Amino acid sequence: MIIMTAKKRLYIGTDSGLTVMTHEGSGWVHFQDVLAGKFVRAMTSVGGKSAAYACVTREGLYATWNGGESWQLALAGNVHSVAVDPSDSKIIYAGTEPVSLFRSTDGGRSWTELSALKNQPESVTEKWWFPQYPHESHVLSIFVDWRDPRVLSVGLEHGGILRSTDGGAHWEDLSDGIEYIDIHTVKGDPVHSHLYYTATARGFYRSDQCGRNWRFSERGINRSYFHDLVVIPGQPPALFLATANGTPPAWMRQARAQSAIFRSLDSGASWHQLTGGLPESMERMIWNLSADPDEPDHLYAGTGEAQGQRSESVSSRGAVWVSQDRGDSWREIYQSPNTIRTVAVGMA
Amino acid sequence: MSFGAMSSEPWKPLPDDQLSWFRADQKLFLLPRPLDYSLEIYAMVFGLTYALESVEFPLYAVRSRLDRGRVYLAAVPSAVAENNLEQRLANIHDQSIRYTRNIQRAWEQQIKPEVERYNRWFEDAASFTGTGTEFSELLRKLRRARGNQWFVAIRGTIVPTLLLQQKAGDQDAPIVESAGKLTKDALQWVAQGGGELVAAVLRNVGQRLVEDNVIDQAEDVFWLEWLDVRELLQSAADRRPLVAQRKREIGENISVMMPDTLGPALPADAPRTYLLKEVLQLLD
Repeated sequence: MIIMTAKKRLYIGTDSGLTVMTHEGSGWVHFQDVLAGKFVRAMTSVGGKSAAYACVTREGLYATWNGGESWQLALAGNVHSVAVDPSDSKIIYAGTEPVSLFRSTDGGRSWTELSALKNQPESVTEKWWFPQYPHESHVLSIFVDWRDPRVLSVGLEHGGILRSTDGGAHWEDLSDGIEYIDIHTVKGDPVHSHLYYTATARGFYRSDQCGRNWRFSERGINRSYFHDLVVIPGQPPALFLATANGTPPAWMRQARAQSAIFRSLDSGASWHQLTGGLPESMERMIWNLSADPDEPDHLYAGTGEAQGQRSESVSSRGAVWVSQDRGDSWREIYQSPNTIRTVAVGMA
Repeated sequence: MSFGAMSSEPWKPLPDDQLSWFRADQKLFLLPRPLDYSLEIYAMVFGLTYALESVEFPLYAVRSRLDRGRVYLAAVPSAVAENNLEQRLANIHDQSIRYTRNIQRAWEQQIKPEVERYNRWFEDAASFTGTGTEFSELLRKLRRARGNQWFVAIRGTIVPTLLLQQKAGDQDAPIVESAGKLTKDALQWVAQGGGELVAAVLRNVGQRLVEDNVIDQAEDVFWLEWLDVRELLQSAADRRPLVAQRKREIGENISVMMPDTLGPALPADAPRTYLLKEVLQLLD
């Protein structure tokens, strides 16, 4: 049984604002709504701290340093991703469109652009593209190595994977082996430093060579679309993958997204669908999977519609699901009138 | 490898010498000069590749090559698509709903404004002045913008029209005829309108090279390749002999008979070529 020693916050980022929940006694209760009407695309929190960060499309990165009570625009720009250095919670990374990476060493109060990422040779940048106007790729995923924080990996949506081993001063494109470089998430293994994982729109891949020579690895998966990926430590480490069928435009069809969560306990070699409490096939997409940084066995899943899609039900377009046992069982804890794009848990 | 499996080796696209090439006989591809090929045809193939993969056609990419003045195209196979071809073909049908539900409205509200935006940019670029480095950067952006223009038109009008004609889109959509007309409009804006504006930009670049004493007349820029032009803009070198040589070569190439296909034969129903020739026919 988990005993909470400090009050927690649950941050629910949607396509129309951010809801902050607080843990009272046996469950989450509404604390406040902030960033009204804004598209909150991604979030992260800091283990043991009251800081959290929210990426707002075409506006910037908002930060709270007091458990969600107040929010400030910490970095202006079209910020799509944010990550915290696991070895130093004051070091924050933010990824943008057009492709660039920013670093803060003071918890998000000031920022420096790591311009080496955007200044790649044309042989690399010519692969950076996006289907929607202005057809610019963006940094959708940032991974800071568990053991060596100088090792950074970024995943570009329609652009590939790049890796730096010197804290962002130099980068190398490491997309070999990935057929469709629409990278949604890139992560490393918490135990085996040579293992890396990536969820792309059209496949899950594993690298046994520190991000080189990716291999397709979907044994047990019967879905065709892949979005978020979370890796939690433990014996063994567990990988959780958010999947669906088709692609977002197709989800307006009657069959909808048919989303599902798969788990791997053997470093991505095989996968099993999680059905404890979850529907066999969910109509809405599971846009986000995240783990509580202080209790990593606690997982959260945020669901919602495809962008621009309207469901018949106006009372609920998204939901938050939680598992407190490494994915074995799940229950829905929150419904939203908006599509939920991101969920994070932090301290008050 | 079957659906849901783990690959034993990292995937790599097939190299050119293992691809099956077919000669592209559409007007767009006929006897291109080096800059037509390395900018215009490159941009068109870029747009075509991204449009087809965006709508989930079962291929990795379309590639082009130039052989004795003739353009050949090849479809590169996709392992991901062929792992689960049935799902992929179903996805094309599902993707089509976005564009075929109201193809006219999509054109008017989304695609045409974007196409026009590029044409306005080309128009401005045709009178651009700046340093050689700035011209070189302009050329880089020009090829990408032209590729995006082709992409948005092919994805939003050409492919949906084809899917409607093939009854792969919404079966009850009563717009096949108007979609065909729309395709002609789109090509008028992109192939003709955009093409003329891009040519004007290139003549502007050519004039710059004339001023740099690299070529004799602005039109000669078309006998150089895109990358060569970009480098020349930053570091001048006499290209008159090369231009003369290439003009001679194209004259010689016209008389050479070239085969319809190059490389290993491919079954007519190979997934990678799904509706590809039909798309190209619509572009003609």
